[in-house]
Amino acid sequence: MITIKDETKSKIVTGKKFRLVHDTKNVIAVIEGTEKSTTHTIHEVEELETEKEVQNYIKQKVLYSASINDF
Amino acid sequence: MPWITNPWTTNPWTTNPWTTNPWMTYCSPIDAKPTAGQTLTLKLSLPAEKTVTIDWGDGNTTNVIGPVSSVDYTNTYTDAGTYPIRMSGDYQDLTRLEIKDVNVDGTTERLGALSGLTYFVCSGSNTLSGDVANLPVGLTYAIFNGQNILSGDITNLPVDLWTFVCNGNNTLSGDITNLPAGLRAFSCGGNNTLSGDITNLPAGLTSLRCGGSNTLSGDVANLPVGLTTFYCTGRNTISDYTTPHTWTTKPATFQLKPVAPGGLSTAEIDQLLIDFDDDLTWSSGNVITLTGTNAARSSASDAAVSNIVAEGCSVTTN
Repeated sequence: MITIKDETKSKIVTGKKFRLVHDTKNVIAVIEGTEKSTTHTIHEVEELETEKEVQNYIKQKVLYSASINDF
Repeated sequence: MPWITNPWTTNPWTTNPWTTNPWMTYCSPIDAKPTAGQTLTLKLSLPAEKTVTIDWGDGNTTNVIGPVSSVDYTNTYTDAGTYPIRMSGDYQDLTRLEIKDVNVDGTTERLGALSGLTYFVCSGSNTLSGDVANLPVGLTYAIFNGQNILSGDITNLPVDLWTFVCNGNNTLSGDITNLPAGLRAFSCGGNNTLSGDITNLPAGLTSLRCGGSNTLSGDVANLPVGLTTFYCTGRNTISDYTTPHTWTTKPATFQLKPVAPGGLSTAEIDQLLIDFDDDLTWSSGNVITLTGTNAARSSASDAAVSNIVAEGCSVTTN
């Protein structure tokens, strides 16, 4: 289960799925989360089940992806 | 005897026997795999007084007469299928080949026939395969996009290579000490098994991305000073961060995710983040990931993480 906490300036994301970090226009990073990892970011972030869902989300929202951050 | 001289290239007044005699000089570096109506683009460079004929595999041909520099040549395929691209004439003098808009298949051995090639790019979902030892020896810039399956020891990469990007299920192996000395960017997806101490990476390397079961070892402080991208997964044992260390170049993408036991300790993770904050200014789009078997960070780096994130960088730790 993902948890997103909005703090003063940043969001703290914990969970174990794929995390898509973006600024509503550009893909910042695709991070394969682990159960114990935590992402701190000021950007928008989505937690998705699979890398395929990440790719579909990018297409659906027409996000620009200059590079793939994970193989 | 497949490699005899094609008289058509030296005497234009003779009938071109290549079209009827399969033993004349030509190469077939790739197969185009278009869908119906797709247009294949080949961007080529060829010196003066050299001529290459492209047979697109569907009955169409195009003559390329040098000098040309990064000029697009196109062919639209009526039907979907697999079409061997054949090049005759002075194809060994081609210096640049970019393949765009249509997926291709092929091998490094077939590409190796273009022995004068220094610049190669294929965009799309390509499926090139083979040992990197067969790549053109003078290659300096090579980008393979798609689901490629390159293999072999990195010792055999072209010696003058300075950019190598290969996406797919590659299985490169070898000690990073043997990477080409002038390499500036190395990106290889798949199930690679690179090994060695990161101290021995090429000094001028600015980008390292390597997926797979690598077993790199060493000290984060010994990464090349100009490195801007560091992405490494696998059974690495990069387990030290020796301080004091000053970061003069920002690794805008820094992702270290080992799966083997080891990794950085909590104190090292904290100090790395503190140094990143003290020495560098981060910005939107930057990424730091220190997960896998690295230890969790502690509250000692809270302030540093807060500063880095406020500057726009996304930070992921255990």
